Amino acid sequence: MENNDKTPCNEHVKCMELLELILDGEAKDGEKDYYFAHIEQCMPCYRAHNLESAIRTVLRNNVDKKEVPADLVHCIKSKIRETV
Amino acid sequence: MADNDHPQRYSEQKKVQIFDGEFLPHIDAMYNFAYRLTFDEDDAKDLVQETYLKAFRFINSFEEGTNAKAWLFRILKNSFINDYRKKSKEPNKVDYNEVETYYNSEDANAEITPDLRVEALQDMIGDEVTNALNSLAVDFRTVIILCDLEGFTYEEMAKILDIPIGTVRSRLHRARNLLKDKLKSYAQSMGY
Repeated sequence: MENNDKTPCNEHVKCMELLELILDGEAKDGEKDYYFAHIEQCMPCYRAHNLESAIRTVLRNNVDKKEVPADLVHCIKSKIRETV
Repeated sequence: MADNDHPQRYSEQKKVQIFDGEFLPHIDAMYNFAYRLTFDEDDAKDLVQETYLKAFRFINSFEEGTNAKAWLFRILKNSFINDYRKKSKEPNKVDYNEVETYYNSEDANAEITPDLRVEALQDMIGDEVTNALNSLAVDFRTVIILCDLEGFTYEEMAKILDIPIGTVRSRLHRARNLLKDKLKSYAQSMGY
């Protein structure tokens, strides 16, 4: 990598905006091409990419999920039947 | 999403078919969203029930085959703001002027080398991540739930929250930095 960990990226703000667009699935093809070429050369942005990806993975996999109460659908449908 | 200027005219049988086929499959996501907003199982149940009853009442405004999940989330969010947030003790108000200018601030430039490490994140258990998310103010928590847990696009989030896409992006950016700060604190307490 040309840009090692100790050299700050001089386009970091732009890269961080692109990083969010890319991980959120909102980046255009040209933005993706620029970004992925850039992180191959820039260690700070590469590390930021890995960290942000890991945060999203942890959120998706580790945030507790609640079971829907067993009677909820029945309650809703009963109330609707009363109104029809 | 529905075009309120051109409502449908569904038969009673068709209404039930749409309700069962397009609305009810989202009940799991709806209940979890409601719980993450209220932190109370009974309130979450009431909020979901109220949302589905409203959805049925206004079903003629929904165009069959369009984005039912986003439509339902929008109704739930509005019900939460109107009926539940008022009685909540949580200090939810966010200074949006501060949020909107965030991308241009020096703070945004300062986060060059995040010292939270991937290994620390991978060692976290559900409770720590859930607590970090739950500790965010509701407006920040909401955008992370919608984007990262439910996978809505910026455009869908803008419609659900009634805010411009630029505001969705800046709020999301700020929310993620706040979440990162919380996760960093957990990582430090774990010895990273």
